[in-house]
Amino acid sequence: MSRAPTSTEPGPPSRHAPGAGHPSPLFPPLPYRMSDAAARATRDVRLQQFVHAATGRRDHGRVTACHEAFGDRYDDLRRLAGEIKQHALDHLDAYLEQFIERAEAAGARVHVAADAARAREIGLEIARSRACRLCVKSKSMVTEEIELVPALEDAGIETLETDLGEFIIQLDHDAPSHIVAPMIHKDRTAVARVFVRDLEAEYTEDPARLTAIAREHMRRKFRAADLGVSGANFLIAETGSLVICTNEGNADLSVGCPPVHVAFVGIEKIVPRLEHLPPLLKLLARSATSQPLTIYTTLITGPRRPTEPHGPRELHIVLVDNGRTDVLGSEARELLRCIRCGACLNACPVYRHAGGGHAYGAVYSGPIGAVLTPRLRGIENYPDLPRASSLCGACYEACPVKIDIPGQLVALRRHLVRQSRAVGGGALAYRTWAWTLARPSLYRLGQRLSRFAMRRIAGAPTGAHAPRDSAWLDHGPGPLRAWTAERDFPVPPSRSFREWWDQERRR
Amino acid sequence: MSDPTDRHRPADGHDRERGAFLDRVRSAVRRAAPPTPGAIPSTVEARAARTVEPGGNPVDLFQARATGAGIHVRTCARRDLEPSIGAFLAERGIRSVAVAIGESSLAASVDRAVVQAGARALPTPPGSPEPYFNADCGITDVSGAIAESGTLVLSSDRHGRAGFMVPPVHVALVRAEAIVPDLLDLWAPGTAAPVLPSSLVLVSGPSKTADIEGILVTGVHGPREVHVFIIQGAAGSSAPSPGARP
Repeated sequence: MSRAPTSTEPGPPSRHAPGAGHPSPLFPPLPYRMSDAAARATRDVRLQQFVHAATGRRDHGRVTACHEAFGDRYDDLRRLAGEIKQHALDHLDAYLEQFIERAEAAGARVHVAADAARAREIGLEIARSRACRLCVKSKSMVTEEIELVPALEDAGIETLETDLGEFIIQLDHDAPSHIVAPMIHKDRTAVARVFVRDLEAEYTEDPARLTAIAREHMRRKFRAADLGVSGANFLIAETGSLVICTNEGNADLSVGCPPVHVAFVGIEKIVPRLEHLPPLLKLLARSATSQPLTIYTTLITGPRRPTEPHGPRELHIVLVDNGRTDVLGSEARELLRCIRCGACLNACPVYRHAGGGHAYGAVYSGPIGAVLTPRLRGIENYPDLPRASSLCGACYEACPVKIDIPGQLVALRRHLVRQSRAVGGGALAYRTWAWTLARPSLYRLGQRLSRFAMRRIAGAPTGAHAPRDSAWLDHGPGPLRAWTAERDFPVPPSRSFREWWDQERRR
Repeated sequence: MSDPTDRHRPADGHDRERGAFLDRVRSAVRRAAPPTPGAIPSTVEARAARTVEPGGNPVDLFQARATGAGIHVRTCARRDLEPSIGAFLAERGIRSVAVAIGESSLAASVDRAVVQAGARALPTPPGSPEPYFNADCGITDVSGAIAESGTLVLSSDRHGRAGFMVPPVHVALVRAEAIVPDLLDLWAPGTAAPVLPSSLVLVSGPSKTADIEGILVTGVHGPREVHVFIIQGAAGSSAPSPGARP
């Protein structure tokens, strides 16, 4: 693990410091253009194979598990789950207040963080005031979003990701590429090399032995850690509880062994009552990993009680906004229903061909990332993401809470068009177009000219070498080259419909 | 409620920050409020969510689903529990055991079984989970079980947090009558939530990961093996039975 620099020696550069060492693929320079990363990924055969296999398996698994369990009630259940989350969002202020009251009654301390900087500050305050030296954490998208780990490490707190995939990624100075399976882009030989290099382990490619190496390493850390950090999959307003779902059990050990537990949670994770949890849990695990439940589904309600034998003495819950209230107050509120199951990523052909999450240049990738990231981080910073879709709707079919992702993509594209229409060449083009359309004789003249030009490009406009009326233009010169590189355009026929109609009618 | 002795954040600053935060949420909620406010969805009639109907034989279903998830399931009568546990410990060569059993008569039986098998029950004084890291096996009872997913319910007030998470082998004693059919049966809809312990864990198998190339590996952090003994027959104890509702 990286050590904080002492006053007399230069330390290793923080791997997330802008421009220093390894910039993270999840925090690229802005505005971010996706096309280069995606183009590279489409040429990387091994990456394509991994991502196709991993996502295909998971998508198929979701469909099988959900149809076996729910049959033709699957859609009704998704609707119920969507309504539960939507209701919570539509009354988020009231439920947050209830959550805070109940969580504090159970002995937790609740903090609020308007943005990433404040969230990091709160985490550091808690860690420093308890003189924490070693932190163990479970996987949490919010902690990625607020860049918590580099901040802790810069403060001299050794911080260990305990989810196996995240642990390997941390050792390798890499970044997760999928919200549920962080290392679908890495293979076992990469893991073996990392363990030899950083854990001084024997070289082995056997996943069971690699896992055992990681387990031993981490158990020493669980026992010695003085701070445990987690996220949460849900917050229950009625009971003031956090719900944490894992398959490895790393969250239970991370938050159960050390004396202090800090949970960072986005405000949109709220669910009104305990009884609302089962429908969401049933969909979450089946949508993410084709299981009826994750192996460990843990409800945390306050720190350890006086009558309990062990557990953290202190529980801190940091409620994070960081752009969520902007989404909440917009036409895109439904995006906050997301329960982070990854089903849309697994269903999306664009995600597959772009080689996974790194191509999206943000913490949230795939279809949900394409609509959420521009809203959280600014559409001017991520203009490519809403366009990286054919609107096939596979994501909507997969989403357990029925978020209309295609509709939200279109809404963002509308914003982009409005922006481009407002300035420069776009504005001129639209004004010219509108002016021409308002004058029928000009429109007809323009039509005749463009028909002539297109037929000229495709062959000769008339005569023996003229294209047939059903021909296609598959490569164009100049400005048309890029567009026709992947699309064919039908060649206009020799006569327009009006001409044909006039001529035929005269007969 | 802020801690008045916390000098890092004066009480009124903390309250101001929280007030501003909630105000921002409130105005966002109002800004894009739907035209008709929705009533709170009820799960009382959640036909869509139920996968296992009440009635039937939850014990058999539990056994099938738990086995499918990689849990080893045995059934025995109450009077055979002690010799069964003893035989299990002996044949697995388990030397040190950490016991976290809420029901006192079961705890007594297990303590005797451990001794009979020539193993040692590690002292686990309250305070730290450290002793559990030295145990070959953790033995607990449960606060409930769910047939749908082969799930065990463990509560920190009866079982702590370490007995079923830290040792590489977890043995769980489940009374047959404690098994409910469906997850929906754990918390009765339409009623207020029960008082929850600091940690309530639903365990549905041995610890698993498929992070490395999608290949399933067990025993990542939590136990490598989970063994369930379903106790059938008369309870024979005055301690409250570990039903689903505390």
